[in-house]
Amino acid sequence: MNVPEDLKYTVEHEWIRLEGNRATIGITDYAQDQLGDVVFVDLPAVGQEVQAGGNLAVVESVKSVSDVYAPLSGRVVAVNELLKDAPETLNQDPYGQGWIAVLELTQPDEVQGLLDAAAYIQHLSGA
Amino acid sequence: MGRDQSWTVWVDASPGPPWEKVAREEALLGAVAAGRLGPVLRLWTSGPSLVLGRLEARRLEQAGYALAQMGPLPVLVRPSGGTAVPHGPDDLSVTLCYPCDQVPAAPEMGYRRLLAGLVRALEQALGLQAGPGWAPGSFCDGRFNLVVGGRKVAGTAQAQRRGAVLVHATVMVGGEGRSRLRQVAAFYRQVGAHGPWDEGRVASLSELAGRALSPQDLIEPLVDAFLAGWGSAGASRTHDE
Repeated sequence: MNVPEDLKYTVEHEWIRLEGNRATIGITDYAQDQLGDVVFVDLPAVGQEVQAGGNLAVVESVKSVSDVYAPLSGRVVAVNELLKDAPETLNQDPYGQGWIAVLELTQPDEVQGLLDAAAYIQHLSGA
Repeated sequence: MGRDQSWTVWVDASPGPPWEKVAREEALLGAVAAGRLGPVLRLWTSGPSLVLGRLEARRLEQAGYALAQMGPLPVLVRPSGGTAVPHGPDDLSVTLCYPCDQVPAAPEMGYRRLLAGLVRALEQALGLQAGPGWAPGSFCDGRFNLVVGGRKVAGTAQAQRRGAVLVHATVMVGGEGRSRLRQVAAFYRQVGAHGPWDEGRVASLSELAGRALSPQDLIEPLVDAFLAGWGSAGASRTHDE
């Protein structure tokens, strides 16, 4: 299972790339593998405020609908429009072109609660 | 599955408005996800309606369709995926909702668990050999349909929420499969989608068994089949709450 060293993670299988006060968010290789072929991604609206642990997006695969949770609080400043027409990108390149949204963080201290790659791998070993 | 392993069997076959019957699925998922309920098997009937998957409804709404104003059947939204499925008095819906500490979980696991009980019940009660499979030309097609001889008798769909999984099926018990397909085709014509549909790929259990059946005929066989599959895990039972 691919777990890039330079990202942060959550136990709910989101990844986070931190750049200043912004966080790019997606789902991990493990999550996309569990979900199977993604056929639809419902993205948040740009400008939407989200709270850590609240809903960020929704994905559908194999007639199964799963919520994707916001790992951090913030305001959505960009969404990946590519996923509207090519949701399979989420399977093909989860850490790259399959990103979901970018947040401008409103509670930057929350990053202290994220997992590093080693901790996420340890979490996966118990999954 | 985690936490409480004791299942509750909920037979919800009393009359009621379809919107309320479908809304109970969301409430059930929320209750199990919050830990207020352990795992539940719900067997339920509903009135005439067309029930869309959550994101199918979202897709159509984003395309500008006002679902509440579309007819002739009431259009409702379920918490799971997939496209339009007709419900009516000749159908029996079967839901498994159970705690799940790790989501997303592979959807196949939930489907297998649901289909195992359905397959067992159809074999024991009706002598029908059913299994999972595609049924091209049917409505809400998917590889975890329940099919008999290549004809869809039930569709399945799933929702995963933090802490719980809900997987359900709507079994065509009485009437004709093709009448349901026509309802779905009529709905999708309104949004400019025209199939392809194949009436030969859907059937009710009555058609396959060669005798009239009602949803009531299937409730006890299904309860027995699921309980047998769970072995000694045990179950309590409620009716029409």
